[in-house]
Amino acid sequence: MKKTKAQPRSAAARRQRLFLTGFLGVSLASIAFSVVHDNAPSPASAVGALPALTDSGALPRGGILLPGEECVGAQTVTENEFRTRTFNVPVYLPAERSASFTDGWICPRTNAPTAMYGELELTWDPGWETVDASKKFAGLANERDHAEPSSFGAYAGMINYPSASSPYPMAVFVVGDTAVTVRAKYAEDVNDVISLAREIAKSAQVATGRGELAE
Amino acid sequence: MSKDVWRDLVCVVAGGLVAAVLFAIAAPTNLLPQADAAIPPCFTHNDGTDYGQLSSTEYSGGVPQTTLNGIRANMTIKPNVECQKIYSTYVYKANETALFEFGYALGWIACFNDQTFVKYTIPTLIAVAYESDGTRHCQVWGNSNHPTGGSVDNFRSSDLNANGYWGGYWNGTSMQSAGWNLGFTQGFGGTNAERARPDENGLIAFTVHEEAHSGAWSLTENITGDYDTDPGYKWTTPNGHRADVVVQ
Repeated sequence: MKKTKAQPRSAAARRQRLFLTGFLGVSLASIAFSVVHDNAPSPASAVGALPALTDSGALPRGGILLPGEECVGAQTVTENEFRTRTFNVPVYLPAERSASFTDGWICPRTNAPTAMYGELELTWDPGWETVDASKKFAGLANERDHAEPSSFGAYAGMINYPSASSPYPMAVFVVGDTAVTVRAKYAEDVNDVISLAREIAKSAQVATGRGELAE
Repeated sequence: MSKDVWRDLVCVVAGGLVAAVLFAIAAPTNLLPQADAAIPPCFTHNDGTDYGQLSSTEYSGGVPQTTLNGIRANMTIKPNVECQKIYSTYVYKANETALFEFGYALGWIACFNDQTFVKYTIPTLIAVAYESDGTRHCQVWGNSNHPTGGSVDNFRSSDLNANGYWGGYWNGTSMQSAGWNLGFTQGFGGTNAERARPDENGLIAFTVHEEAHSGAWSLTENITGDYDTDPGYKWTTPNGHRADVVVQ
């Protein structure tokens, strides 16, 4: 008797529980979707497939400069001027006979110098005095699929092997408060990028009185 | 299957359906946004570039000041959009090969990995970064933290301790827990306005520009409207820390 009376209540409770299970399941899935959609950083997974001008037109000042691309109003700088002139950042170059300088310029708006060695672009950036370069490049490389921290002589740096999400081969290392960056537009130039960076590191060691490389 | 099993199944499905309906009603309209892989037809330029873009920059000695660790400014939140508009603060690496940008956007935006355009019908926070190796970062806060139309909010792009971690701040609140790890620590910066069509009202006042050096903020002294591709608009700078987008 007791059991017979309890039966309908138990069935109703069961259906209620099942209803709640479905409700909660869909709710949690919706919330999870919402959180992921809202917060996940979205590095481009296929830069090569981007509509070429979409971001260029939607970034401040028309977009970033690609490897080898001149800034507006670029003024020519010769190799000799690079070796003799004073810039707002120490300029480290490869030894004269180790690589062929082909072009150079300075941006009049920012005084930022750029040198070209064929397809390879060489730039220098100040502002690294507060950065632990070893830690920085280990972290940056860890966040990328195709990059690794590396030493260029005595200097901590990183090599970016081109991938879909970071298409330009690049080697970067820090001398004092200056980051030296070599990059190229085409993936096949990656070994040349690394070689040029190592040549510049040798010159930098000489220039900064740190002696020749042991390697 | 027995009748009981069917009944149980119906209960679970009914619960799920009720939750889904409630979720759809409660969600903001842009939670399940419209998406389009092609360039939206409302763009004047069918390659998805802006109809017009204006950028201001803090100057020193007649050239952009390239040692900023951050920039911030107040801007009015404009709630209406025809197609697309973006208002932001930005800092570029001095040699213009990398940047960080943070602000708000309305309308069709291509932020996600596949570059699909998604329509945001209310003001939506957005952060974008490019690195010298071509790595692109983009994030929108599509489901929460929407600026309110008509209010004047503060937007900031900064790496105050100059360690290469750049972050966006909205009304003083950091929107990214650790920022993005980027390969530069300083650069030149200012504010930016973009629109996709000539009938888009893109007028705005960027006020109280401040610049950061060595962790300290101060008013900019020479904010300069030095980039303008918009046929209908121009910059006017009433003082060293205010830049307004006005009709030509």
